[in-house]
Amino acid sequence: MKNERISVLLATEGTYPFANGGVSTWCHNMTQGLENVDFEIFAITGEPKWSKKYALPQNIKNVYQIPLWGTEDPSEFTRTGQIFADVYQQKKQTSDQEIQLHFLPLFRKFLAALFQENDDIEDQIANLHKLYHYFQTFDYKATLTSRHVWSTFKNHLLKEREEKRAALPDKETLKDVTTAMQWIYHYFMPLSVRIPKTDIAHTTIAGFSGIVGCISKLEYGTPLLVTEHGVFIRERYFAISASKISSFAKYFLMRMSVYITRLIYHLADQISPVANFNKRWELRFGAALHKIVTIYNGIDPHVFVPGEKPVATRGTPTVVAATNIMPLKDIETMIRACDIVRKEVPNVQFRIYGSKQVDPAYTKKCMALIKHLRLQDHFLLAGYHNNPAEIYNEGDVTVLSSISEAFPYTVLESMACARPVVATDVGGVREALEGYGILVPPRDAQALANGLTTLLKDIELRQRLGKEGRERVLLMFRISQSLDAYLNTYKALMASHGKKTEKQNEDRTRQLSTEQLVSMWKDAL
Amino acid sequence: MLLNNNGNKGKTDFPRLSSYESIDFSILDGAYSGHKLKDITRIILKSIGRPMDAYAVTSTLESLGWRDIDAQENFNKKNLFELGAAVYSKCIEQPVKYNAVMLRLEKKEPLKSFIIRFTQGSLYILPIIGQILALFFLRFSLWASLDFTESQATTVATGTIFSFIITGGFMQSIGRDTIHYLSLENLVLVKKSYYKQLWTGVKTVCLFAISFVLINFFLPFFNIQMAFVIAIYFVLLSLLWLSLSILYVIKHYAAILIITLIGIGPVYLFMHYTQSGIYTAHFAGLLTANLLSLIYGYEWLYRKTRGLESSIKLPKRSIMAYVLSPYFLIGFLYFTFLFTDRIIAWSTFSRDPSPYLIWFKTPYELGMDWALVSLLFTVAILEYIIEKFSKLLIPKQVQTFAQDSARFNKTFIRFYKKHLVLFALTGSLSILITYFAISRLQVFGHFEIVHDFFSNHITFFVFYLAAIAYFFLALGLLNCLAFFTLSRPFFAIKAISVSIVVDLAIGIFSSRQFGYEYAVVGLLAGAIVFAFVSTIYARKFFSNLDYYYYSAY
Repeated sequence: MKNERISVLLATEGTYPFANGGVSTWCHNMTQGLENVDFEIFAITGEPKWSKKYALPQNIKNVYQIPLWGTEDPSEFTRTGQIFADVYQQKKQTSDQEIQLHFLPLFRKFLAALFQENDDIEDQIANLHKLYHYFQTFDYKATLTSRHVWSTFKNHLLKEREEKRAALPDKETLKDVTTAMQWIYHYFMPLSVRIPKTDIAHTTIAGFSGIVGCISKLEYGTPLLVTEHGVFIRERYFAISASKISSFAKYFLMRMSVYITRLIYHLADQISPVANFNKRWELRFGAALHKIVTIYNGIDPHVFVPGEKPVATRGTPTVVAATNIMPLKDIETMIRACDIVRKEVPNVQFRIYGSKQVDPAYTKKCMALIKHLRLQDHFLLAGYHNNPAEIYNEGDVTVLSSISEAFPYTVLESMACARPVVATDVGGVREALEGYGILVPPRDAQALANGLTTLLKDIELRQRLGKEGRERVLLMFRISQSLDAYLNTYKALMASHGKKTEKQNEDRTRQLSTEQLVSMWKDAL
Repeated sequence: MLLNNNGNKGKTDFPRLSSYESIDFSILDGAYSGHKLKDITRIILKSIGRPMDAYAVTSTLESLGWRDIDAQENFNKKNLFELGAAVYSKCIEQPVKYNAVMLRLEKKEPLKSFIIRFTQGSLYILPIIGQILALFFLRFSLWASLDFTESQATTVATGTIFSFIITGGFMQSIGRDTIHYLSLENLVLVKKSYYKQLWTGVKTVCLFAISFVLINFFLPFFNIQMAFVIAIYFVLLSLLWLSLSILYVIKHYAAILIITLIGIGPVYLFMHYTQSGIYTAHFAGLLTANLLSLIYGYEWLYRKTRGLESSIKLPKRSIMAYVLSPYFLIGFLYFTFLFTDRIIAWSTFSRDPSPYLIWFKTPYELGMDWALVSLLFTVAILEYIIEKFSKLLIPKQVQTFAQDSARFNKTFIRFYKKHLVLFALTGSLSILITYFAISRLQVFGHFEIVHDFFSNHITFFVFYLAAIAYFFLALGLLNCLAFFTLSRPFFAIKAISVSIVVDLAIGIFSSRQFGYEYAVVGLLAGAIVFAFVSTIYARKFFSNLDYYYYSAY
């Protein structure tokens, strides 16, 4: 196996290679770094207009974009390898009769599973697999826009309402029901993709893009690896709760999210959060403890190297941060901390690098606070910086005041530059920083200021923590270690499944004619 | 008329809330403090309203910066999940506000709104009015003249009819596709789709023009000079319809009016300062209007797409053809229907022998044009009703509980019936106003043209029947626009196909049996069938509106 290439189906959601950001950077680093691995990327995007943001390495063999919104017909993207005549034939054969006979039983089961958490998960998985098979034979859009599907959906919701009056939220409006059914149509579009056989299926989120990983596992027995940067289900809970939609719509969308997360956790051979902190949520949503193996993110210590402070900040006690200006980063507490620090260190400078456009209203509020506290000479919102390695070397100390984080790169990057970090003790920050920086409670300006003042005043401590921090990064958080961990995981998963890397069985589905698929489908029923 | 209410369901009207979309973190602002359960409960209720379950509380607390250690130290709970469960129990003790966000009552529509929408609807046909006025004051317009001989009229009318029929499909599919991309705010694809279809249209037009001339060599429907002139009118007018179609999509009606009026300038100059004749004058005017509309469209699209990512592609040709073909077909059928009776009338052997198979009949055309004026208010009310229908869909969806979906459909059946009455009243009024307004022109009876107009009973006969036919046609259009609003083109295709067959059958029979002017009976019968069949579909449509609304992707 040593010299053989491994093929990996990599599923992304709103990230690589169509958007910038932490997960995309991670994907790009991984695909570039694992030269002996061939990647087939299934990228769920918003609309088709998303364009690639990265120059793709040679080992990315194909990118299948699946836009969930804004397409005239999903087959435009989910049937890229097929001639339109076949797609058309599929549409024609998706008759009311076929839908009633073959789809509605599966759909009813699917709906029941959405509402009943404790149902037999194996049964739900088998049902998902059958839905995939159905959509390989019959047209996705023609099916889901059929009158029978709509009335089945409406009736099912009304039945649920009858049966679980107390458990369900507000009475749903017709708009809620329409929206809910449209969500099903859009979010489950990956079910209609034809998935190639690979050695490994690797999904970067336990969300809807993970459907392709699940299908790969069900169809070909491909080992499934899930990497979780944030925790999908936790973020969905918060995003949906915070959204301004009706309580029924929230409830329904959350049920869909829980449904898919549970299936993915159940089917996964390994779940790899980027920090142990994430396990708390994963375990509660069906991830077996023995499947969870944390793989930390890594950074390139040759890019992030300690350097001299530039002339601009030399001789000035400087605190830096690499963070967008948004409420989650709690820049206000950072500003208040600055106000406290300057009383002890009068010439202190805070330089915050990050986009001010993410939440303009919040940026405005922060600027007003700076003015109110007369910190204009001490606190600078410096905007986006295109070379993060330079940011840390401008400062003596790095600050992170977030109220929520997963496993932030900024902490590792600063440590690699031998600049100690004062950070809030949230998410997986402790796992990187404990013993090598200062952890403080979130939303506590005084504690944050104390940590910063200590480091700004105590040069010896600062230098020691900086030096030890870099050593820790070299020891534990190098990108090469992260890449090795993934490569070894791929190999281990393949070995444990007794799978060979040769593709003996080509993608059967692709080769079969529509008639054969219909016949297979009918046989299966 | 461009039926440009295609898939007007508009921008995505439901939240996507995909995992990668930004979260509204503003709820976190200043919401942290509190060390008692009731404080946390208050914070949660303020931040997210009534939580879905305990996990919703925990995730919010975590996002607010709370940690397990805070739950232990401040609340003696093992972790945030336990604290979340405790807070959730408190939250659900609070009274529920039923769909507080969604159940906003719709405001009653004031008269002002009616006037605005009605005026907007009227703007649609402003360019046509401009041309009619030019004809009245200058004796010529961009492509017509009051001084045409019958031979010239035959030439221009044939070119015009061909141009509408051949480009009708393109105008419709351009409208459908570009409105779709506009609703997605994807201007790059608006531009690409428009130019792709424009180019295909131009090629088709050229191919048709060349074929027409070539066929005339072997089967001389017209003499060869006439065939050439027809072909030139056809090409120039077709290009004009195609280039103006994007301006209709972006609703720059004033620009259309101005461009078509400016186009009359060269016609005027040629007519007054040269001896080149009406054809050359028209060609110069049409070329000018074409250039202006192409430049205007290009400039607008260029400005809107400057700096945008341009690598995004249109769907494959096959998918585009599949999606757009129903709309193409509608455009083609609609204009075919609109001109069938004229072709039948003009090809009828009449008392005055015609030199060619198709020969312009002035009294017939005057009657038709007169009837067309009656569409002014009818089209405006039609636009108003459709606009109102589109705007009412979401509020009514929000105001109806799911188990009352039948009530939702009934509401719209009532809406439909009520507006049918409004439509009928406006349509009838429009016909009467047109009749009396034009009758008043008799005071100018000393002018030869006016005298001819009023002394020919055929003109009156055609006007009466065509005005009624247009009324029914507009009713059919009203139904079709409703279908297009929710992407149901096939109802319209079926209705209009049947009506063409009826128009042909009855038109040919009656014109050959009773006289060429009876071709208008075919139009009337076809229009009635169009209105009738489309109304049957409309009943079906409105009776299942909740389904059609859902499935209108």
